[in-house]
Amino acid sequence: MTTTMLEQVGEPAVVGAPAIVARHLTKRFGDLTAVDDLSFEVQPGRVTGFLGPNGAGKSTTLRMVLGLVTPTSGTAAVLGLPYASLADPAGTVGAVLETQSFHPLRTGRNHLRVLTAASGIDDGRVEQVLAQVDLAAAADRKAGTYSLGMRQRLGLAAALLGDPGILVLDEPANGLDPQGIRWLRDFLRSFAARGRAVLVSSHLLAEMAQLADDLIVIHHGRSIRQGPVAALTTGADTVRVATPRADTLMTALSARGITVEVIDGTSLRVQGATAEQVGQLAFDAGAPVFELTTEATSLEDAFLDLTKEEER
Amino acid sequence: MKNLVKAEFRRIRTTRTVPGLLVGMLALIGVAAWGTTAAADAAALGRPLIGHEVFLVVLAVLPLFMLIVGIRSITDEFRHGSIVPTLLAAPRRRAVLTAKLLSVGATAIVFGLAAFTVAAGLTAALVTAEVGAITVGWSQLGVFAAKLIGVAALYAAIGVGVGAIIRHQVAAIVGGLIWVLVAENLADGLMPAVAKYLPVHAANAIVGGMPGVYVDAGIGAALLLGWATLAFAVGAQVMRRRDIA
Repeated sequence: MTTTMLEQVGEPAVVGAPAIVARHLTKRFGDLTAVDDLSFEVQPGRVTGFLGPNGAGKSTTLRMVLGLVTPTSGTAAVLGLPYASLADPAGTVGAVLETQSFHPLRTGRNHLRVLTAASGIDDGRVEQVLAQVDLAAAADRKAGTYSLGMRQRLGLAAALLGDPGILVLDEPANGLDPQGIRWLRDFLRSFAARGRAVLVSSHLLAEMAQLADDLIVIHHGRSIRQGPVAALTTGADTVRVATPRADTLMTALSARGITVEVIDGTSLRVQGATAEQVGQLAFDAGAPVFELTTEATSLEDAFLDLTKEEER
Repeated sequence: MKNLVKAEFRRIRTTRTVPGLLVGMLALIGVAAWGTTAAADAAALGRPLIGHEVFLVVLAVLPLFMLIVGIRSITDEFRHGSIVPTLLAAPRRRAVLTAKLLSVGATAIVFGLAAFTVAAGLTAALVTAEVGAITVGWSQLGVFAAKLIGVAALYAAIGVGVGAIIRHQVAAIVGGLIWVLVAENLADGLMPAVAKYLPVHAANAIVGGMPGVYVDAGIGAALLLGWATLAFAVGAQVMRRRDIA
């Protein structure tokens, strides 16, 4: 790992400072570049979604943040420090990376008790987190007998042991039923609402649209868009307009540099103008309007457009 | 470090792996004690306790079982994915390996004491039942036990290193067994001048082997300690660089 300023910062984090900072993270496995010059920040008090198709480099990035994978170049810092330099890792970051991260013949409770011992956490905390993730009744069963959802919750219980200020989760909704997903969403939202930071990866757009405040969209290991969820979809909305004088309106719109797509002889799809602007232009051009509708672009459309642009 | 060692002991106690290995080893020794006593003639039954063949079995199985315990202390974690929460809780990997080293070293003492208790107790009881009495020779037995338990602890340390280098559990265990049971015997025939410095030969030198074939006990102890240190150092270096992907 190259040494940069990030690694030398030893001061405790100030309030409002980013919880996680990645700078120019790159990871190559042989000829494959899994993560390519990726920089981002995760802010406290917000849920940051890490979105990308399967194989985009999300897991590798999270593992670099958590010190499990050494970057080929670039740095990742948690509260200003590399993960391995944190004085109290479990009390700083809780992470759930895999659905299977326990010995299948060890009970859920004993799995957690191994981790409390390793982190010097009071064993009483085990009962608290078991209750928090609703796993107390199954705590004395061997973890190998757990359903996928229970395994995810055991992972989350382990992540919460140190009462951390930051949660990092890799595809946590995998294997959860709709109620489980709802529970997780509410949990993460309330976690962030208390001023804590959440970085959660997913390849599912619908999930991210409901959960995240900010998004980091990656594709082929590279960042293709970052920002608040709302900003990702704003400006991408289209207006559908129907008029018997479609040609006239099209000419008027095109003359102002507005993108127009012909749907059929009497309908147009307009991008880059509001419904009010389109209505006014139609009136000025003497084109009677029979229909004028704003079609909101879903996060999914925005995401597909972004990844398509990247492919080109 | 205290926390990590405590975590390792909890790990050892909370699955059946290590207790299962202990029971398996004691069963082997028990059967050997019974078999060797039953097959012994009057002259053999009259020997002092340390002279009974059951201790050759203890000599063979105790270090081998501890090698497996050492290997599994780390390969189990890779196999089941628990290495991730382990390293998230303790990102300093050498410290994690050191804690495993200390815990399996202590486990070797437990295995060793249990092995000698079963071997000596059962043999003494069987021989006494057969011929009425047995000479124990406590000091000889104690020295032999202390040496062999030391060897077993060093084998466990080698196991931790090997497991860190070869994280695939079956490959690491099979490789370890082939080395101990086959490779060094072959080396004996092919290059005896070199073979006597290898780990199994060094171990045999410590517990008392034939002069000529083996080095002096003191040198053997230094050699085996050196092998254990080397295995651990290489394992720690491999672990430090390994991507947990």
